[in-house]
Amino acid sequence: MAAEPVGRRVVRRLARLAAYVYPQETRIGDFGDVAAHLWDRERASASAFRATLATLKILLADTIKGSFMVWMTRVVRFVGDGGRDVRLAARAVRRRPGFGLLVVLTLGLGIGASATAFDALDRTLLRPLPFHESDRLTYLALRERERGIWSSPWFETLERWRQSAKTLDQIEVFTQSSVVLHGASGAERLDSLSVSGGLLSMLRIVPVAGRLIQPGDAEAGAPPVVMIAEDTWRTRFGADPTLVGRTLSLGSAPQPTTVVGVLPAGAKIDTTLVPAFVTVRLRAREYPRGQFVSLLARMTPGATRESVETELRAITPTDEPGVGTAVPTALTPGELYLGDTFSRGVWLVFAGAIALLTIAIVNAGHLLLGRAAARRHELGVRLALGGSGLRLARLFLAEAFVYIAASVALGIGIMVGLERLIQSYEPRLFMTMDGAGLEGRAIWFILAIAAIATLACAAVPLFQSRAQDLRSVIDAGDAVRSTAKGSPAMRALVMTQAAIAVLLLCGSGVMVRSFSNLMNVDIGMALDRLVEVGATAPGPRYSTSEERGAYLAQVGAALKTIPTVTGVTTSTQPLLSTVRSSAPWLDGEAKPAEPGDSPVGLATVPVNYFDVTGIRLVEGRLFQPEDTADVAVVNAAFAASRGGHVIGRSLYTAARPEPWRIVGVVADVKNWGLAETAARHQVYFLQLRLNPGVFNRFVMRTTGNPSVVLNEARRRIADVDRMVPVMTTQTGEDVIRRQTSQHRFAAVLLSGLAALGFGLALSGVYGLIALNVSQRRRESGIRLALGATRHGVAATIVRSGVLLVAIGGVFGVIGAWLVLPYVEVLLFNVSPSDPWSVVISLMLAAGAAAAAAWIPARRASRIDPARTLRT
Amino acid sequence: MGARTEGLSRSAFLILFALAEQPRHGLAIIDSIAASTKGRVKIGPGTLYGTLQKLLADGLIKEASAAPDPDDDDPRRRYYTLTPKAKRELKSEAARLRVLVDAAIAQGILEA
Repeated sequence: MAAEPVGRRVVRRLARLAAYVYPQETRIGDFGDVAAHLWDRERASASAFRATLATLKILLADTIKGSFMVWMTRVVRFVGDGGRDVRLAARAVRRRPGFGLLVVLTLGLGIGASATAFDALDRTLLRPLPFHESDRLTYLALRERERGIWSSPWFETLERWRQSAKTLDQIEVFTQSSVVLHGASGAERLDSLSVSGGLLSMLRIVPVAGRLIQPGDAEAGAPPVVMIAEDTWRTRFGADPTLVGRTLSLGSAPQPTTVVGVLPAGAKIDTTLVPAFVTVRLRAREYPRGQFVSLLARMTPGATRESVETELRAITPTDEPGVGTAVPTALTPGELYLGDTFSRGVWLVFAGAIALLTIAIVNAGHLLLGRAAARRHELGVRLALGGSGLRLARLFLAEAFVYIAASVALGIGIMVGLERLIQSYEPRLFMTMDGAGLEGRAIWFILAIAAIATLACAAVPLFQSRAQDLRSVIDAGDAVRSTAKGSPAMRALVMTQAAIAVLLLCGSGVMVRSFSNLMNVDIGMALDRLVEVGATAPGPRYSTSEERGAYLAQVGAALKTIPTVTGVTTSTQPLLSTVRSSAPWLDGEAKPAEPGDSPVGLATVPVNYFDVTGIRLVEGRLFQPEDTADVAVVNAAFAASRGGHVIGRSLYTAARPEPWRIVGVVADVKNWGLAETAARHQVYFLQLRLNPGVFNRFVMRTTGNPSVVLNEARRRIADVDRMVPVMTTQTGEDVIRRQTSQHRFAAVLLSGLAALGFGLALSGVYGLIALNVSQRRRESGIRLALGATRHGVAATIVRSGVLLVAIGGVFGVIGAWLVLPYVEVLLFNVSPSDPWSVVISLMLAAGAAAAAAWIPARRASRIDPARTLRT
Repeated sequence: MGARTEGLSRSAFLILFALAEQPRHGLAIIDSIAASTKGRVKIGPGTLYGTLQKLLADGLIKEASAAPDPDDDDPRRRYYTLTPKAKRELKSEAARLRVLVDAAIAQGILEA
């Protein structure tokens, strides 16, 4: 045979290669032969070169067109068959509704809980600010190292940063405030936001009507202007377009203020407050020193939060007033508004929810695995009849898909419900939300976990069916079943579940202990039946000191007549809170340098203050009616810092040259927060009559319902003068709830997750043992026949269940020891490796596992050996 | 199957047409198609085998039991022949084409 021409050989080889593009069943002939034949035909009328080119052209077009068509046909057919599989699977699910319901419930809970936790995390910590070039915006604050809380720098520091920071283009500020709106029906105090002149234009907010507040509005001598929030504009002014340009009477000293524009509802500048108005303030002279001011800055291109922090720390002198030991920090909104502790709590709950989801998926996989074991015979037959592995995989996938689709629907329902519930309980979590609902990244998260869950649920039984040669099942028949001792895969799954459940239990145990420690803290005063109402006599209505004093006395008298109120007192300091002041000093001591490192709370209170609030006397005496205005009482921490010898000594403050005489020592009150462990210094000065110049807080003790008293107090104050708005009001319970919210939140949510996870893990144990028992009927029967006691048979089974959970539980405890130290900041008076939580979690898990195993074990011990052996 | 109402694909029609005269093997089908279309249609191996496989699966052709040409002794060669169903399909497809051709002539697109 003559040597084959080069061109012919080339096309033959290429065609054989091209054949591999096609599915195997298409390759029914030799592609190379066909190509060579085509070449021969072309060669008959052209040169070898041209023939080669022409053949290659045919091959190329053929390969592209042909393979595309063939593959598309296959894909369409596969998808079409997949639809049939889904229908088939749906029918199979309907046939066993109880089983299906269990799987869907399990997965739905996991999906719902984790989607809710993800949504909370996303909305609070991950999502960028909804403003122009949000990646270049950052919040700035001072971080107080020892307490992990934020404070804001004084105006001088802000100016320094504005002038010197090269990583920042612009720093603007805003703070929460309130305005008094004077209308026909009286005065009303509304929430507002005070901003610096350039804030709104920096954020590129587009006004609904009119214009934004601009830097010019903040200049000295500029006429007072205000922007009205869209909601207020619609609800109070009927969206009147002529409001822009008109003046409103605003302020405690009513002042005509021009409305320059309408702020869109979507512009949530401060996510914790829905303001009615936006005013310009925060120029040097109005910049508040005690109150928190948010600093929002625009970074220069290329700058990062880290580089900003580095620069600000370098340019801020450590002895700067208002800075003290705090360090400048660049933050995300979540970090700023929720604080470090709360942020960690959100992450912790998210981790807990993911753990729950893992248990749920494992449980569902486990249930399906059990079902696959029960269907081994059917699957074996399918394989024997020529069902391909691919076909089987598709069947499992379709079945998993049906379960997951139903679970996702349930999960979304659970998520919406949970978010509503949590929103009413802890609004900060979903603060950027306009009503609970599915949106944005939460949808992607759900789709992603649904895909993972589908694959996992399909893979587990498939893997299992591959591992055991199903064809052997048919040969051996049911006899094979009795050899299965709970497959290793199933045992591993149950152990994993137990580990995660115990991890969750440890976490929730620690949180619950921490929360209960916090609730049992000795506050130092009897807070639970106290009600606080703030009142002040507004300047223009009460111009002289006598008039103001008379007004406040009237308010006090009106409050005393409220039923169930047993005492009324006042304080210049809010309940369980403090206004930081510079430290006083005693006779024989030098005046401390500014600013004091350990701030001292100073309160001015009347004679009956300690009686009404229930603050205990430790030493000396309390105030007496015959005292003159130069006596003071200090707290135990203050006394201890002076070696306990304070009674009779003179105390000096920067406010006046005359000394105060210390007459008594009272118990420490948790004025710096319930979780504060270091006792802070506190001084109470006697006040003979109300100080008409300051904001006075009336504190009432009631024997009745504090909320009822609060409402009644509002009414009585309005009765004294309708034109004076009622200021801050709160009950003792409000204070406690606010101060314990993040601990309560973490404890409640984590406990909920732990309970769910624990329940799911138990159903896993039960499922495994029950399946095991039904598979080991023969073995149990033989044992009983050979003389084993019924109790012994049951005990063996229970022991195997408890052992699985115990081994898993030990891994869970190790996990808890590794994970929980990260959230130590959330804990109060409890160690992250709290031994009680560990012991109780393990005992709970083992006990419950024994109970879950006992039910099927009892069934096994009641087997009639004669009947089992005959069949 | 839905595809049937759409008529045969062009390559399927040509292959059936090539097999209508007598059972043929793959290479002979290519030659027959080239001859009947005066060399205008050249089908490649993928189209040939892909279409043959589809026609087999659809029951339009089957493998012929014996080679019609006793001189042809290559044992690798597989011969295909039409099924009765294919003959009906081919007939109706040709009729459909005739209607189109008649219409084209009536409109002066083609000469009679």
